[in-house]
Amino acid sequence: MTAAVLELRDVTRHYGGKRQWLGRGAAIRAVDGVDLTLAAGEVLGIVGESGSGKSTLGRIAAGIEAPSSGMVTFQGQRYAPIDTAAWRRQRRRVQVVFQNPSQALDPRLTIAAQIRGVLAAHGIEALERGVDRTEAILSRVGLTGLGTRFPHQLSGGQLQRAVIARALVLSPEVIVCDEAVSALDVSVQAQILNLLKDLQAELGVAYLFISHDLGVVRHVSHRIAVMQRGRIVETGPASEVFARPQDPYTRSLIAALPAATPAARRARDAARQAA
Amino acid sequence: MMPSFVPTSGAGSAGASTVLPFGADRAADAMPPVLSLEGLTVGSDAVDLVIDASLTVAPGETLCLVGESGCGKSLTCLAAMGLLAEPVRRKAGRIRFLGRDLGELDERDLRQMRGRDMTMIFQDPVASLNPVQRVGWQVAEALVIHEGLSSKVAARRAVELVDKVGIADPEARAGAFPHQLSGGMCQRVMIAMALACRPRLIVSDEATTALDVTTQAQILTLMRRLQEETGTAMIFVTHDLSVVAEIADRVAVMYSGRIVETGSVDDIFDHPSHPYTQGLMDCRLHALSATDGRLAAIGGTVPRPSARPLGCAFRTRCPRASQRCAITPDLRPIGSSQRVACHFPGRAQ
Repeated sequence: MTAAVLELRDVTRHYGGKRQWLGRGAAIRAVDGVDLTLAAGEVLGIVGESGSGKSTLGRIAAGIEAPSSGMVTFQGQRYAPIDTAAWRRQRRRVQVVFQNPSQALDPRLTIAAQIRGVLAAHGIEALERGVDRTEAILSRVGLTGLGTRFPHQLSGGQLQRAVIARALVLSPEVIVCDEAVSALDVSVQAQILNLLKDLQAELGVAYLFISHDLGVVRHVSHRIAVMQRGRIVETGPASEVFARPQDPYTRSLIAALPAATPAARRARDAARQAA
Repeated sequence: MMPSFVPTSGAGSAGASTVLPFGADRAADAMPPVLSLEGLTVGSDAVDLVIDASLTVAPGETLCLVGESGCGKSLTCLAAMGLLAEPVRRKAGRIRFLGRDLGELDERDLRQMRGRDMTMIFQDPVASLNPVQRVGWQVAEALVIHEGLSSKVAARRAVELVDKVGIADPEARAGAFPHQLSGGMCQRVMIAMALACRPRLIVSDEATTALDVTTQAQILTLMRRLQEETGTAMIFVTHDLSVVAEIADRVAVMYSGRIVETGSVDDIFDHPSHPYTQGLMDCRLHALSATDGRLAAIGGTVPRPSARPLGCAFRTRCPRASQRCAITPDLRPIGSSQRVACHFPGRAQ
């Protein structure tokens, strides 16, 4: 747990600010001076509201977007420039799972074909000691025998399992999960969270787990970073951040959480009235 | 046309001719329901998507419809609003709104009711607003159409409404286009539109789902406060049980087209009796209560409407299922206000 697998140093990403007809437009600082360390096998949760820059941070961490300034290192090595051969080799090690699995899969290919395609793109043998990697990973994520299906023949939860399988088949060290369970129904969300947790324990993969849902983030994360307007305002162990939030923004997020039960809501409302 | 604008909280408004007493099955229901569904079945020729749904909403009451995607909660709402579109239609059952059978009304009557007596708030406010019209006018429009106000008077009322839903600098904001406002502000505008004609029923379909937590908390507080002021009945569709805990008086849980459990919000949270309701409760996550290890997920997936098992649709995923479950269970009362459609209700040991 000690060795940093992914490190971000003073990372900034500005959009806009290009030369316009009259002068220069104002730049949007989507990510503004972020330092982050993800240890091997660690789950680091990133929470924040829409527009806080958490998705941009995830894309930079995954190497699919370059920062405007600052440095991203993977196992001590800087990310290679995007679209170079070295970059493609690194991409194998850091995979991404996005929110909407039906958009992340090709509707015209079977699930197994898409996974084989990923292996071929990275020049990985289809067989590992005589075992078909695709079949093995599909059964690992609970899709045994469903590789011949097309995306439209699967449910939302099954599609997200397929996306996770496609990411895992490359044996990455890090998976960036950007709202990976947010579009799923609660009962399915629980299945996928269990799967992610099992895989993490089994394979020791680290997650950068981005979500607006504080309950989900608390459940999966070892550590949490709270983002607001491109900056990280608070980091700490998950239980610590929720029990003793230090930053006023974190406190306002926690205060805005809906009550867990009607009784808790009445107690809270009574306390607020009294205050 | 004045009676529909008489404040609903006043005792005298019960005299409005459209309000007919409706068989109240519980002593607590002193007031006739605003909306009642009786054995409603909705679907296309091939499949039923809502099956035999019965529920009522009383004035000033918030009923939460809870369930996962595809369970029929949105279709139930659309049916109640008379907004079903071919090939989906009402196949059986009755919808009574303010004592009138919606099935006997033509599209013209319905159009007069919608936006005046019953209004709906959808999930995505930005997609629901007209992008090329100022939001103030979109609020004022209903007042012009339904209340016959002049555009000038309606515009002034619209600014008041925009103010009422907690938008700062209402005069300027009323003149804004949707893209100039945040998602939360657009949803406030939708609420202002829904409130404009003081409706008797507001149907909100996942209205806070797309919003950030802080915005959601503000919108829920706003809706509760406005409901207290106006006595409007509300149907609140959500998949999020903590939103239910925040806003519901009563809850109806839907699974694969059927209402499987109803009860007061305390009943549902304190002693959920249908195994599906219990499953939903068990896989909840809340940031303020630690959950370690594995979650109690409900195994399997929701069956497609065309491939539901015979009898109870939940039985393929149910830990308690037995042969008896091949017979569809009725929604039977347990306790004073709770009903459950299960042959083996209660907590499994």
